[in-house]
Amino acid sequence: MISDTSLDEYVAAAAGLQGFALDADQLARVQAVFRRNAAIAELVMGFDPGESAEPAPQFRP
Amino acid sequence: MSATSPRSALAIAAAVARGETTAMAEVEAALARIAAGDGVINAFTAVTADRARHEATLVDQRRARGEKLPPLAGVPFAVKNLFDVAGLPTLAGSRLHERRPVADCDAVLVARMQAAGAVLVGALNMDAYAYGFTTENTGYGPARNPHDTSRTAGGSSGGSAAAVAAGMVPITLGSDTNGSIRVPSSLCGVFGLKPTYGRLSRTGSYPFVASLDHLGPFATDVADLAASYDAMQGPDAADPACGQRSAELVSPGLGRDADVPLRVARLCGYFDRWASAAARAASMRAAEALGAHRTIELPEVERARAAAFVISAAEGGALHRATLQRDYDRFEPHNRDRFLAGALTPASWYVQAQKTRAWFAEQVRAIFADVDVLVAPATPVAATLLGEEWVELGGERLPLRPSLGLFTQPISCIGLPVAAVPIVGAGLPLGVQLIAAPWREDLCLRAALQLERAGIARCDIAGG
Repeated sequence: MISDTSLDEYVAAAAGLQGFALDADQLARVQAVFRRNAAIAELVMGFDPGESAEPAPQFRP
Repeated sequence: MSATSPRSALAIAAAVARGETTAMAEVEAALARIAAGDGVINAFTAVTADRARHEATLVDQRRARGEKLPPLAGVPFAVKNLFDVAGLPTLAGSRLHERRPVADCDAVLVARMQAAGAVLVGALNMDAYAYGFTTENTGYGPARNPHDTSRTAGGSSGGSAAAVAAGMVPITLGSDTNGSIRVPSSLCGVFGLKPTYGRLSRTGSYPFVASLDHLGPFATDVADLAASYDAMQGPDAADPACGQRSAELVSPGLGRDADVPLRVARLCGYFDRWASAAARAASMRAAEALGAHRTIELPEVERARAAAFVISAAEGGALHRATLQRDYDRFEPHNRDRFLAGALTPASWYVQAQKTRAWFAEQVRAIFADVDVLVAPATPVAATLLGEEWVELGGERLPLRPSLGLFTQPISCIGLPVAAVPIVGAGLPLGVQLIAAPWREDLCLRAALQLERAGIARCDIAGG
């Protein structure tokens, strides 16, 4: 599990890299959302779908 | 509503064809209902009265010349405002889009409805950029639930469901990425269809998450739902996701096959755990009426929902990154931070989410070898109060807005066709999902018709 501090540092760096000029309040709000996203993403990152589950370039059901 | 409620779309078309009414009379009646009711409901963001009267005149002229009329001749309809409508800016729920050039032609599905004789009367309210389940739109105000105007109509196609539930028009169109047709269908008590991913063309609609976006209709009964779906089918090379399948019309066989038994199972496990007692009861009632004799627990549903969440965040964020850089302060406050956080999603999360999605699709596809239709609740609860932030489900206190998609996200994640069906019961409306294998919308609609004929499913027009 990635620490909140690491996630917050990632968000600050990634936002800067992508050209967002966020003030402190804005950054704090985005960091809070990203922490929630990371908790959800753990459900897929902690899952092994096997080698056959490569995503298709264009999904077809 | 002070004006008379509409008949079904097919009843209108039949009456127009027989000369018992005119397209113009039906359009004027719809415009009157909108004028009478929409000040409170706030379903419409634009009313295309001039265009509607012009199109109605053309339909009536065709009848006067003795021409055979198309199947939806003279039927008023309206579309979520992410569909291109010639002469209007495509708002996608955002005030920022008011500055954009107007659309120079209609979206493919709008054009196909028009070719079927339907008459467009307006564009409908939605969550900004379709990222929400409550249509609490800061720029245009909330769409209100016609059954209780202090409550949400659901979202993101809230205006589409509310306009039908209020009896303003018999058919509307919406979009569904994570549940945006099925959630408002459930909360407003109307029928909705989210077809198979790739079935209906999205050309001329504003995207949210390209790899998850679907379009589909809302209606007051199953026959209208099927007729509008049929009118919009067909390949479209301009939409890379749209299958190149010919139209597979469901209306002609719908009544004929209605009594053919279906192999039905009810989804349990995750779906029972997070459903309120009322939602679980609705699902069980529908399953029982369809003769379900088994329950099925889908594998790794939480991960499938998480995959849909990550894919939505990443693709939606990427889509709006430039706008957020430029106009963060004027972007919808309800979702700007979610879009921005989504734009920062690591590529590895996104790829892993797509792999998880492909795995889940494979597991669920196997289930359909001996099941025709799966039954599940559409929403965990009935319509909540506007502004509500939290809901208690499964003994846990959860954020309300994302939780409304608990049962729809795992299903749209793998592109399955779903009919959302309002189940008759006491209190506020609640719907169930009737889910079939890819490209088997006919089975969803057949199950919906069986429930309708059994008196288990019904759309009650609010105040009607």
